Amino acid sequence: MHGLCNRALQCFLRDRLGAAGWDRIARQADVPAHGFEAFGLYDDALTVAMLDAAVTISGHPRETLLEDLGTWLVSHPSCEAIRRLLRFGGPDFAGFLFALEDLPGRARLAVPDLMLPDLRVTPVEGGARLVVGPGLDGFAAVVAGMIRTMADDYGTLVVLCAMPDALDVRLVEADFAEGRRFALAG
Amino acid sequence: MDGAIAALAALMPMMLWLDAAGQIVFAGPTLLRVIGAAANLHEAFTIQLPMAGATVAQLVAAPRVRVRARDGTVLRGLAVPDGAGGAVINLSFGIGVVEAARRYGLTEADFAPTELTVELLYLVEAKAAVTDELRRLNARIDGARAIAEAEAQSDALTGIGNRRALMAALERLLADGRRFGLVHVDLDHFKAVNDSLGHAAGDHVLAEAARILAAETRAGDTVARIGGDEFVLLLPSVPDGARLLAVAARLTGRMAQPIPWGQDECRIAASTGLVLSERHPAATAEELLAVADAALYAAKRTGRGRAVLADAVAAPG
Repeated sequence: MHGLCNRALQCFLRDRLGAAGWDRIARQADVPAHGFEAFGLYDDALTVAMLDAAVTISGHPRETLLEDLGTWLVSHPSCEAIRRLLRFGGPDFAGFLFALEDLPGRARLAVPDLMLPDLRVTPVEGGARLVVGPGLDGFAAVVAGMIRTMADDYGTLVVLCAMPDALDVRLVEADFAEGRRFALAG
Repeated sequence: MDGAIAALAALMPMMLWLDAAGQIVFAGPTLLRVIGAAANLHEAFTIQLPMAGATVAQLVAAPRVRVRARDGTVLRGLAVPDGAGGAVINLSFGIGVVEAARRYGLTEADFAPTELTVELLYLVEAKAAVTDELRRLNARIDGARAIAEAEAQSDALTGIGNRRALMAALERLLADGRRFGLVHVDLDHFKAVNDSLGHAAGDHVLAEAARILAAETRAGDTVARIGGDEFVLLLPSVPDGARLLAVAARLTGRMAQPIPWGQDECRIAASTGLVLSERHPAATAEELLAVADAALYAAKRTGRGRAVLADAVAAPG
């Protein structure tokens, strides 16, 4: 697993469960003493162990934690850069949604060895279906959290229906609320 | 009219001109590499935005469009009316241009010089080169840090852990709630070796003692030199009293063997203070070491080469 993903999970868990909670997870999962290097590469089993420990210690189901991680990634002030990069996807939510197909390519552009699963978006009545390719177990839940929060960011009202490795996004109202401002040159 | 189209195609090599029914009137030279001989819009593409199966009128109304070619290549663009019910759409690879350049063997001539595409490709390569360099730098720093950390936790003379390594391992065992045996070893007659045979002989004895102690440890155990001739073993592999005493007896026996030094022999012995973590459930690392120290002191008081298991002595303080 790429260090950036592990680090994101680490920062999220510490933010959500406090320093003491994170320390317990780190001990249980045998996380390196200094945490993760953003550009290091780690055994996937370590990420799985970290998630398992987080589930045990927080008492939340795995899917809930991962969806919270997705929300955190695009809403926490320390991750403002991620929200901004996602907003480059399009001027409106529908554009953003289909541009998610570009996300793995864009991510690789920024970090060549950051391999994200393929994302396929197909139009369906009233919205779109997002199919998440293999390669990163639980990524669909993270994306669900991201999409829900980005819909708020655009001021769009959506209803999500999560399936294993796929997500139906129904667009209820494009201009439901005033979205957050986004300028190309931030 | 042909001249006008040629001019448009030069300005927009990925333009697509459709009539009202979606038949392709003209496609720019770069776009032709993607769509081949397709005769109409829906043969060339599946439309993602504004909606699946959109008509030409709907594209113009959008007017931002996103389509997927038969080979999977995604294009995005802008549709404008041609004044006769059809549309002119200027398309682009967007971020997919890196992959597209490879797939279609595109060259600078395939893009209008006003587009930033070539600059984007340049940026991708330049960034990859810099990232590679940074990754190598990172690996070097990582390696240096690993060495520095190992050095900071090891005893230069004997190569086993030092007090810092001991405390880290002890804190970790306590935090994990593991049961373990602790052996505090003090060499007897060490000062005599130093005084009679010199410091080189003393250093040799310490190295031999470390080797003997290390031979007693299993995976997950810790052995450290914490002072001049003092050592500590942490043994999660030996969490019960009888076995811990057996370990101590074996150590004491081995330490009593003479250690050759040139023509001479160094004779030492080892006294040990033993602690079982489970007998001191709430003790901190420092408190456990103090208990071990008291047991060691009790052992030394009864003679040399003895072992005392804490509990036989009153806890300090």
